[in-house]
Amino acid sequence: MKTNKRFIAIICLLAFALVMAPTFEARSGGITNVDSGCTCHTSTSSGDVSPFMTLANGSALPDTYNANEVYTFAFGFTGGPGDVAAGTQDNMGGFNLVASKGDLASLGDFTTMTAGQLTHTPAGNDQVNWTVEWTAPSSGSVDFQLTVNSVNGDGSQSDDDHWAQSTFSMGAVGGSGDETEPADGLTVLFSALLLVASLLIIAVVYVFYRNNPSAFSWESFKPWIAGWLTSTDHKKVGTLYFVAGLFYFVVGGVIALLMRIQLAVPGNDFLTQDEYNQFFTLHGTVMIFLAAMPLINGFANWIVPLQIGARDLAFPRINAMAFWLNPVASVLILTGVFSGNAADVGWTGYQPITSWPGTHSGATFWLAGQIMLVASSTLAGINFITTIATMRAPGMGWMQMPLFTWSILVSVMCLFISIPAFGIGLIEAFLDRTISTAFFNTSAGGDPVLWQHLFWYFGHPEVYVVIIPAFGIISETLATSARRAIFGYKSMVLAMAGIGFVSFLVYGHHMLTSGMSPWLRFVMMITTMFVAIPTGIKIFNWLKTMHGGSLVYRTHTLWSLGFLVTFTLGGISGMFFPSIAMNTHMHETYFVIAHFHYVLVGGVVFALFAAIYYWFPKMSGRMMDERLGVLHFLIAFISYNGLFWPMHKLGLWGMTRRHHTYFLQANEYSDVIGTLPAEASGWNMFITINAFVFGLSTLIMVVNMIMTLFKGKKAPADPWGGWSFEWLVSSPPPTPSFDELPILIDVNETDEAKPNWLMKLMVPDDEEVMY
Amino acid sequence: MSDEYVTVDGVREIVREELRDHGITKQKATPAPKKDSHDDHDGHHHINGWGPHDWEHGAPHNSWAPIIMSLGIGVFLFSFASTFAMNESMNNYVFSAGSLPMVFVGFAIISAGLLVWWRQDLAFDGHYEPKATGVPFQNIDIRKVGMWVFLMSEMMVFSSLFSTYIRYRLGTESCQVILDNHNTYSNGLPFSPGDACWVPASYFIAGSHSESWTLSLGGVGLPDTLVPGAINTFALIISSFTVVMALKTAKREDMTSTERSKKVRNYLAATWVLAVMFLVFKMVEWFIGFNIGPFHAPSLMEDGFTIHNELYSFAGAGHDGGHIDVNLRLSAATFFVATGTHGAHVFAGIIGLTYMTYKAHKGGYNPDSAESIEYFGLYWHFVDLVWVLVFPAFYLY
Amino acid sequence: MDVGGAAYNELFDIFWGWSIVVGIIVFGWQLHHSFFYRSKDGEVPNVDALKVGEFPRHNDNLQLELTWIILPTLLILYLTFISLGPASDVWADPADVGVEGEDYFEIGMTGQQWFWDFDCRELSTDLCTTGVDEETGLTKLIVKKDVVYRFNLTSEDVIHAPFLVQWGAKEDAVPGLYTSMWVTPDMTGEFFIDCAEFCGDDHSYMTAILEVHV
Repeated sequence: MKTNKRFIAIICLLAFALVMAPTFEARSGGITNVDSGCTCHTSTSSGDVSPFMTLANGSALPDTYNANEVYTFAFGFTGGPGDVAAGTQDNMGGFNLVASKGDLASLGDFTTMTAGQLTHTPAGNDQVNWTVEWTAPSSGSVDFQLTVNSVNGDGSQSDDDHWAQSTFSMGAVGGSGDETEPADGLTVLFSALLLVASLLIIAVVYVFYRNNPSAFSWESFKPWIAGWLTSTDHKKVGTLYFVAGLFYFVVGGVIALLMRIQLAVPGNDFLTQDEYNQFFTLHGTVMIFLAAMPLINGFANWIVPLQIGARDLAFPRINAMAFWLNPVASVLILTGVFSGNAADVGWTGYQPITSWPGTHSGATFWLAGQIMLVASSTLAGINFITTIATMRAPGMGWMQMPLFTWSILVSVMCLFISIPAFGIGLIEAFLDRTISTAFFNTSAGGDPVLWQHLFWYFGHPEVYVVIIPAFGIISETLATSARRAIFGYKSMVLAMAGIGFVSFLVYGHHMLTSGMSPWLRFVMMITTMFVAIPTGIKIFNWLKTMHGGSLVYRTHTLWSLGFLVTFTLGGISGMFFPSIAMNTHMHETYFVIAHFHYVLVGGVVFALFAAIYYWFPKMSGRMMDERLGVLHFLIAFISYNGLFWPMHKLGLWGMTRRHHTYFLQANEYSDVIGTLPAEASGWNMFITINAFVFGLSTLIMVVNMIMTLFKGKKAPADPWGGWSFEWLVSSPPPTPSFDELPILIDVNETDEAKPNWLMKLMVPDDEEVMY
Repeated sequence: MSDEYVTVDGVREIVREELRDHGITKQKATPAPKKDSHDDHDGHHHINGWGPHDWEHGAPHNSWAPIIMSLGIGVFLFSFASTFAMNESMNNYVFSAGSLPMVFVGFAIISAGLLVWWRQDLAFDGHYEPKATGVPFQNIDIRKVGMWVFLMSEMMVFSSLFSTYIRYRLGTESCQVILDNHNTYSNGLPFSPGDACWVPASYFIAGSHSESWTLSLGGVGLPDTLVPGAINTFALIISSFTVVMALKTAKREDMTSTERSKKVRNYLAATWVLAVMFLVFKMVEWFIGFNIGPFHAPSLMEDGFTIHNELYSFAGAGHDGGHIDVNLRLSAATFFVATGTHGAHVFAGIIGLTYMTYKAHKGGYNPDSAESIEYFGLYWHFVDLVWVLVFPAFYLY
Repeated sequence: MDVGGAAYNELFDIFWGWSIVVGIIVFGWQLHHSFFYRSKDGEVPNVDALKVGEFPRHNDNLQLELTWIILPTLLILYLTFISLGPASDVWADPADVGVEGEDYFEIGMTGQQWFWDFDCRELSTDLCTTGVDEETGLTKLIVKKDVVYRFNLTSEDVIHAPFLVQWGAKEDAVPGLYTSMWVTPDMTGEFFIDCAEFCGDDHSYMTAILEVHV
């Protein structure tokens, strides 16, 4: 009784946190005391320079303004070396003025508007005060940030040159305008994170409650939760990976939706540019490292030992270690979000911007988090390679391994060989940002292209690391659905190994416009073209697998067929890039975005969905609802194509990625001549709507999974008719999974007349074995 | 399937018998799970996640070590980044002393996690040594395969560091060449003070820059600053030998277990001492320098070879009084991070050796469990081997 | 709308055509098999009779597999071959173009956070003029139509990349490195130079104007 009260109190506290979450304001100060101020002429900020800003008649700025009225301000500075002999020296002062709202307009020859900011012209350099015209907005309070510098005018940088920064504010009439201000994007994200985390805690408590309602007390909760936190069992660790992956899949998805709102119409100000830069960085990092890889690791943990007939992974404790590095790393990666200072460098973290003082302090923690993920991947790699190499059940040679296990082996090998380069690059960048080494500091001779080499040497295999397990999954689901053995098992294995090998030779195609040596670019162009061959083999083999089979339409079948469509489209669009003359146009445009989302979402995520519908009964012991599954597939498949297909066209029109907004050719939102035709705006809105439909459709699956856990039909050991060992054990499997090591029988080996693969190259394969 | 062939179950029985003959399935299957017990998911008694572990039951099913160590690494990296932050001009760091204690808290948490891990491992006596079943590794210890796989990744770590070194070493013009060309780059551009060029670490360590060549061995000169590195090279090679001796001794059956334990402990302790000596001499070479008897060597720090030195007065060879002011941050960063990563590996080895020496002291190594020393030895030889590459590349070239 | 330049458009049409061919083959094949081999219960026909714990009988056909290794290889060799030629448009060899200052002209272009800086060097005002656009305050470069220009790119701070959409030209401007970009403006009017490599806070607004006159 007493313990139940405590639980009620905890849940009340959580509910309170949920209600309070939207009121949290993101802290603007940052984590460390790094202040990225003006570096105009010197790095010394000084108190003896004081900026001022008044109305043109000399009176102080009013507390409030009238909507849409035009004001003239006089501003400048006093003090500093520039003040000594006003008007007699050249180049004594400078400024930069930003208004959070309204429109600034230059008055006279001394000031000019550049990129939304007012700054001085060369002629305005010898002034210590300037004037500006400002048109008030219709509502909302406004801040003016004025940065001034005062120099001695000798033309070179010296210690008595100073700068200072001040903010001046004005409120709107009546103050009612504040209520229509768009939500602060970071507040939204922070609230969303808190919301999902709270839901997670509630879900954990609820799952525990449902497990055994009568034992709902702290005394029994403690060992239960400790069991999860300390477990080294591959199935439990797999589940943890799975939950963490799904959680960050939602986080990454929410970030993507916020970005899509921003891009829905041109000139939108839902997110500030600063927030947008952080969001696309975190979207990439979260989706690749914290969502896709943990989900794949979850399946690998669960299924690989079962498929090869091993009792557990080779090093269970190292496996647990590899997992627990993940959540801690994810906190580091997202640290900056809570202070408004998350990494804003893009997930590729190109140098030297990552080591630039102007970059948010969160980038340091973002690098640190990724270092931990490198450690995690290395540990997981040791585990999987060793397990697959040494712990296969008797009778299972290399060429009798199920294709999913093969895919995990190839993908882990790729990751394992490539990730140390990334790790070293990260450590170099981390040291650059902390103790100020000079690896990527161009003024000390550092080479930014070196980072690109270290990064893409890892980064390209990395995309195959996530797609190759998807190949394995589709090979399993499609063959089982068609009730056939996979067509061309050996060529499938060789194709996967080939893709893994080639992945190390092609990374330069990410750098075709990077200033790398043209000869290297030619080589990379040719090798990249050849990726299509093993990939083509796989697609044709999958198609041929269906031939003569009896295709049963289940949810995972639908996802597999959907995968074939979207992955083929993604593969075809990928063929456009290595061709250098096309690459210079398409590089860094939405065509690239469309391509890699076609392979990463249409490929990896669709395959993961297939895997969820395929193996969830094995993991939970319950059958998922097929009708909800079909509904999920139909909505998601259609909205997915609506989401990413138009991006191809946008990219070809020249819409560049990582841009906070886009410019149409002559329109009311921008006075600059833009690139995109007017219909680009409509397509962007269309994409945003589809993004929301696609995002929300995922909830159908989550609901399906939760309902299945409680209400689903009991699953038999082999619900789909697969042949590999995971279907041998009951659903869910016992621990340890196998009392006695299972023994694999290769039907082909009992057929002694059948020549081996090598022999077949020389002897014509003239007869099919008849049954 | 044709009737001429034996049935599938028949084949299974044959295979199983063969395996039994080869002793492959001799490892004990864990007991069958008890049914319907909630606090007992994995079928046998929940062993304390804090250790010590009863290895009769197989590998640990619970451990607090992973989550604690992960937390510690997170705290360490977070507070390290809070303590040191690059300054605005990117040429030095801003030090926040307030966060420094957290760095040590991070270390403490990592150590706590390690202690839990070791507490579980301490009882391991080789009784439960999983063996590989898959071709081509049958009957080889799985741990051994794992260690080799790990070394594969370590190989890539040092390859990446060497890539960085080669890129900068071969891609940056040597300061000596610029000085010889009368302050111009080879492409004719003028060199201005503070520009970057390459001063190899060997200039400070093994070059004629080293002021006294006092250690003359029959006419062969050895610069003083090279002395710590030279001693270190031998220290590591000898420590590779002592670790092999520890393994050999642990495998000996011709002595009493107390005698053996004592000898193994001594060999491991010797390895430990040599490894610590390596790091101490490294600190001498980097930061302290020495002035003992006839040997006078300034540290690299005193020489001005630091990652923040933007204006080093480079006098080069053969230019009396002539010098250029060079930015040697890049060469210093490459040297310190590459050799520092190797040093970190030695440090990791020291931590492992500390545990192993303790375990040997407790009599933990016998002919059955001596393999643990062998697998540590693989790592240790690798670290040694890397030094054999690092030393000429960074100290002599 | 005319974007990408001649080499791009020519290649794109060929690639697009072959994409449609490949698409028709793959999707036609898939569509046929998905419906033709559909089965209610999956039991009839159950060709391979998969059983748990038994590695199924190989389902392969060397001739077929070789077919779809060789045919795509031929297609790819062809596509690689036609891509090689236009690559020299992207990095023209000065020896092929002619003499610097007569057959082609060099313009310096420096990226800074967050604007483009042009340097006409000794070129006549007809060939190259720099300025500031009155209305937008953006930097502006005025060049002549149908003249071969080589932009020498570098950066003051971080990596930038000018993107001239109309001619599909793009190359990173890397600090501490000189890279080059060849452009032959063949249209007159005012065009937009975008930044394609993420360069910090005002990346989206790092634009400049290219004016081409007759």
